[in-house]
Amino acid sequence: MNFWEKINNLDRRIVYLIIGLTVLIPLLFNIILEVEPTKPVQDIYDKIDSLEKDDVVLVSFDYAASSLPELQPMGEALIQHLFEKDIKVVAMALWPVGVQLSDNIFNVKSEEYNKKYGIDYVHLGYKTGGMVVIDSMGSGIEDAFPTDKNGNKLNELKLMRNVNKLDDFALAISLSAGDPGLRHFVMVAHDRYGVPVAGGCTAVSAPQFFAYYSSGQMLGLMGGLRGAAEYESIIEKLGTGSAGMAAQNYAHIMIIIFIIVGNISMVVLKRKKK
Amino acid sequence: MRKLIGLVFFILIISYAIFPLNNITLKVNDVPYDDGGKLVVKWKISLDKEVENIRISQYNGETWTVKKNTDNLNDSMKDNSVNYKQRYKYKIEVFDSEGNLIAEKSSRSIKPGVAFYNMGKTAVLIGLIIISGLIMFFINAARRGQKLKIRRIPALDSIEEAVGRATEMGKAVLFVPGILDVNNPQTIAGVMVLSEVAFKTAKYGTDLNVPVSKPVILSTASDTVKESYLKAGRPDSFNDDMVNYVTNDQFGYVSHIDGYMVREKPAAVFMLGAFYAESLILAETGHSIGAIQVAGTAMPSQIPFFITTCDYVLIGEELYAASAYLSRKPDVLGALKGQDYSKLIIMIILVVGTILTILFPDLDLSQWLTNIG
Amino acid sequence: MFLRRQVPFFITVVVALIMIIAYFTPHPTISPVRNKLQDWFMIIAAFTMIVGILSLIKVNIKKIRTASAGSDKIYSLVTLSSLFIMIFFGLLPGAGGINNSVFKFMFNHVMVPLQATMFSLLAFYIASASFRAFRAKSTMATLLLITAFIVMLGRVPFGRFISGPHLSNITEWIMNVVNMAGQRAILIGAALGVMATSVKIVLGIERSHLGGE
Repeated sequence: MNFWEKINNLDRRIVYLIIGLTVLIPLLFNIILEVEPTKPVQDIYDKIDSLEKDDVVLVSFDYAASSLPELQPMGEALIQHLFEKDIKVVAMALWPVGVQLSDNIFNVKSEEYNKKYGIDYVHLGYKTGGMVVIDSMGSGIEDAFPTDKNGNKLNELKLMRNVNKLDDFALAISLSAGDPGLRHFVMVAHDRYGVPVAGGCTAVSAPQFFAYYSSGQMLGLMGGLRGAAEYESIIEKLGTGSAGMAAQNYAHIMIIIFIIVGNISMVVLKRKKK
Repeated sequence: MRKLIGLVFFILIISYAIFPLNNITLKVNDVPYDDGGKLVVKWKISLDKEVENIRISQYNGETWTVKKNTDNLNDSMKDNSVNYKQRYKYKIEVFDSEGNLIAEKSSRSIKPGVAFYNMGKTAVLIGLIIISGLIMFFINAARRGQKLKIRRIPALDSIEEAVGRATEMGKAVLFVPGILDVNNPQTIAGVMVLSEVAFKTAKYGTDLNVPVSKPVILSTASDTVKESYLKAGRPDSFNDDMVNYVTNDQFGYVSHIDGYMVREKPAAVFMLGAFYAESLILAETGHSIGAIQVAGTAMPSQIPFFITTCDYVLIGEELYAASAYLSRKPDVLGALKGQDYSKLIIMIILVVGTILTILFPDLDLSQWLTNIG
Repeated sequence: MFLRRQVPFFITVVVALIMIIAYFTPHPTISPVRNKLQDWFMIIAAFTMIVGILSLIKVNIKKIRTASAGSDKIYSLVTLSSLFIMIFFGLLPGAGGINNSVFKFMFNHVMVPLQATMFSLLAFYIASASFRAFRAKSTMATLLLITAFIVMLGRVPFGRFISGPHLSNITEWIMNVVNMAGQRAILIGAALGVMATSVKIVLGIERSHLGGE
């Protein structure tokens, strides 16, 4: 077997090894790359920036640990921005693991910005049912969540006194890795109850959600790790999103090299056969 | 002189009416087409003093409750705490920087209205009637004996080939019905194809393995496979372990299937249903073991992964057409035809709308269509 | 048979009609019925988790008992012991429930890395799938290849480094115009498929969710 035949039939384990090293090295050396924000991400920032102190934002953490690298940096950047602007936050999760993952964010950010639970933010917890939960919140948040995740009745929490239904929220943001998630917030919260909806999603789902952004059903969208990095660069606090962009940058270049090499080997072997 | 003084006064009065120095406008309106649970309060304030805080309160016949504090002189708020059985009044109070009340105004009393029908949903209702009507019309036509043709779907024709290959190699057939629950139409469509695959594996005596990720699908898929084996005349070949519950967790499920594929090396792999990120992991592993792979999903983000790694792919609606294609039942074929005609109507609307929007941009057609629902 | 077919079908039709009417009618007479049905759905959905746990236990105990299971026995033992340990610490009275330190430790240091690892396999699989699949064998395949290059470079800082804003702008155009058209077509088609399936279920033509024909 000559060189090009070997390349054409390259053992996938060699591909895996090269990709592994390409992703690992920038992370080990903590290389951070800033990205230019795009309009869909800027729109989310602008909307939050335009909110008043009395406004309450709903943030739904609809992802599991598998999507943590893409969606957790988005969550961190968003909560940071909301807390910096003293905007009240009500958190919830349509995926069970979302509660623990969002707790990890609130534990850090609430201490950093001196935010009090029940006054500045509330966590409603996880509820099974997906779209039905969101629809139920439309008639009354207490219908879907009689208590918060710690068992406190909602009417005992100062923040929830003027927040009775879904359309009391100035904005609903869903950080979503699949179903249930952002799509249901668009279908129910926006289309049915008129609540402005923005979202973050994994890079693989971003192309389909851009259709909702483009039609105006979503006011903004953060797509994948890049979306997280863009938001971090807008709020000028680079974090894990921007750190991951370096690894993604080099991984993309490596994949392109693989594709070019694969195509060259295909052409060479084709000519040889002729 | 008297005339001059009179004229000056007249001008002053008119000026005050047109350009009031201090003015508060407070309007309370009902939100139309709702359940009587919302009122919108709008205010516009024009004062010659500096305004620090504006307080809006609601009176429900018993007590005054503060609803909002703001410094926006020209704004509105939606009050969702109202009830269609009561009357409400609102009051706006304006305070200066020292906390002194400098102006206030109350609204008239209003009772939220209740609607029987939400006019804003008219376009949805029309669409529902047309599409459902078409589907039911063609179902009836098919029942009356009208012959309905359906184009070839290679992925569904390949079921026989895939199961045959597995039989020849003495290996099992793996069927993955997706990651979502039975309330998802893609899962239902996948289970329809499972009945056909199970019928063939029963006929040829091939092993079948159906790992599921939701307990409700366990009973649905198990009943489906059992019935297929019964139909094929091989009830004794069916065993309960064919359909097995793995875990609800997405990647736990994927790990199990990947492990099974690498250890048992099934010759045919069917992946039909709703998939997320696990689609590429499953398909790549299937490719690496050399299995013939037939996949189908309506998740737009996962279709490209299946296309690059699988031998046959059902794209989007082809998955929903599977039950019609395999069973050839008139009812189901009729529904498929109705679906196709609905698509045709949508395409015509899109083309006509695009042409009209280009030719007559001032018509603002998209806004008009949005406004009717 | 009556309980397995006719009763579920009757429930399906009644609930579907109520929910459709409730969608178009905001009147307060219908919304309590709709809200009640939604509450029931959430309760039933929560109970399916219990069914899931019981199924998991049953399946793995069977594997442990079966002599021929081989190495699957060890995996089943690991599954069951992980399940019971997490439940134990999560339900431990007075320890803060899921906020207790042991539960959090196991979540953050076992579950999160395991789930993240499985997802990270995608990076490798995408590389090997791209290497194999992106070959310029035909005009359309070449077009796909060039588009992939542009989008991959346009989405990372390297694209801006080599071409300024141009690659980014072309990527945006591809995503907002070409990709959007394809996504919308699939979404509309899939939505029609969902609608047709729903009509078939309500009319009783589609009964596979009730188990077979």
